[in-house]
Amino acid sequence: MLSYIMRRIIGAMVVLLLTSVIAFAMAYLVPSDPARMIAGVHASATTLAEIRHNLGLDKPVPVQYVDFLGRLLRGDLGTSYIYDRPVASLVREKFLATLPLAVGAWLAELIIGIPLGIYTARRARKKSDYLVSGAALVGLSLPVFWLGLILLYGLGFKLPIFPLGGNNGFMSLILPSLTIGIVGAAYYTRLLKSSMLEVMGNDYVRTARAKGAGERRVIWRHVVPNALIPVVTYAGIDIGILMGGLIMTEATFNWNGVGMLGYEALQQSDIPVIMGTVLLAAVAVVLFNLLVDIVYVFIDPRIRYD
Amino acid sequence: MALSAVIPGSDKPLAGRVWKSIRKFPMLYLGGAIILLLSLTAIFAPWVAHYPYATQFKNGLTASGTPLSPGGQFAWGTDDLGRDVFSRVVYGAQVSIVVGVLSTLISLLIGTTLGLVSGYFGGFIDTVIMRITDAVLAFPYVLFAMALVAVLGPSERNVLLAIGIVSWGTMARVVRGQVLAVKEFEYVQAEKAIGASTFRILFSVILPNIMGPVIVLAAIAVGTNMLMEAGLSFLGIGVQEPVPSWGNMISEGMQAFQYAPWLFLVPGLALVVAVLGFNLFGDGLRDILDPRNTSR
Repeated sequence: MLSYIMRRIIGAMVVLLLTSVIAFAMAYLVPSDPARMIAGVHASATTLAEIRHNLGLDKPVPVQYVDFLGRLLRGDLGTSYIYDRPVASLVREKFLATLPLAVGAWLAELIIGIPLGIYTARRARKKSDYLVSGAALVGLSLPVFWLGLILLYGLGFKLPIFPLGGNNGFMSLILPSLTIGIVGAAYYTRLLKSSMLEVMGNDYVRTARAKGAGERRVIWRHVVPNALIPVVTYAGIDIGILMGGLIMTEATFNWNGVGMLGYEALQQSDIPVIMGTVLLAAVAVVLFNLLVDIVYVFIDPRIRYD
Repeated sequence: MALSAVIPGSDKPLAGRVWKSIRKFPMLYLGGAIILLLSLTAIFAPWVAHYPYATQFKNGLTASGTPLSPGGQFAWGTDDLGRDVFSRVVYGAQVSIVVGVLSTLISLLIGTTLGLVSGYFGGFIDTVIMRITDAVLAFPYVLFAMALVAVLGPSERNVLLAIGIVSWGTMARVVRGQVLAVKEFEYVQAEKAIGASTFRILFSVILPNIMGPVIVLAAIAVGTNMLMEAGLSFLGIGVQEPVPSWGNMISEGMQAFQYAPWLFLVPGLALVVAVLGFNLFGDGLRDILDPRNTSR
């Protein structure tokens, strides 16, 4: 088991290295001149050259990448061209703003999705199943930003229950979390339903029924725990993706988090910040994937006897 | 010998058989109908639309300069510049279909090739390709697509390139999984035994046999990619004014939502229906291809 974990960790590190290469390539290709941005439009050629030299932009590309990697490993993400602040602290600050949104959305997905998944599995092929599964399919087709606008319109404008955006306080967290929750829950519902149906076809379930166990006990003690395994895997990956910042939602609700930061940085060609946000997102995904891989070994009893 | 002995059921009337098929796979046909409607609208947009999409009508605004609500001359109302919403939505269908389908083709191309190679050869090649795929998949789609568009410049063509490049990861994984499942089957071994070239094995033997799940994934991917295009246009880095995309129409509608809510409601509804069509179709395809369903 330890070797399995070690291999996973090394794999994750390789992936992180590759993401750093991609992030670097991405930032390098964005067409803009950082020197000019810092010095201003009327700067002389010598000033520009000096700034470029200070930023290390006149070195050959592979050397720049190695410098970049070195600084990365020391936790230095550079300085923002626009805000003139260390990127690391900027990103951390915005990340803390995104965090409640990510967790809130994740919880909303689980709270809506899992019960509906169990419901549709138990009533498979009946009218209520078609209704809920149909709703789930519609949920998958909804653009997040549009749903957000509808909720804002209905519950923020027509009936002024919730604030119209911004991230101050608990009330303003509900609508954006719900928006992502509704769309995301659809995936969980479908996943859990198919997982439960598959488990219910297994022999041990038939055995439990043959032994006279009531339907309730069969479902909750045998089917659900086993059916939840792929759901747990998915949930782990999901939160990783959510942590990367949800640009669409943040833009719609004017939520000042990592997503917004990346978006603005992209518009202003603030390369260090772009790299910082992208790397944060990628690291979050890779870390949570790794976590899921490790946890999976412990929760799936079939693997233990390897 | 009667034809019905060879083709079961062919002695029954065609209409009845078609109807039976529809009743058995309603999602497939409903989704297919929506896709057909969408495609026809997109192809015949200049005839379906009432007016050109960029024309600003003087009588398109009220006396105080606000947009007209739906009804009357402008079936679905006008926007802040007095343009006909119905026509813009119709032209928006063109953008959505083109970007959705072409970006999916791009990611199909990249993903299938990599998945085939990775799954068939295994070993080091497989590990390398899969690690790269993991790295690409770790990136937030939107930021990645945005960055690509920033590099290439915002336009419809670049948006579909960017989306295609960002989304091949899942395809590659699915194709690879399928190849692994099929690799050891006898027909593949037989081809190997008679010395068929690798190219032939991959593309003439393996590929046709894994098309099922791949096509299902592709259908659903078109829907997802349409949503991504709308999102990018919504953020202002996709299709640019004055060309209407359902995404940038929603963005404009967001400014006016207090006095002209139909401006964001209508294009959004169109988008949902379109994506739903592809999702239904994909789900329906999956049901048909499911071996448990082949009962003729």
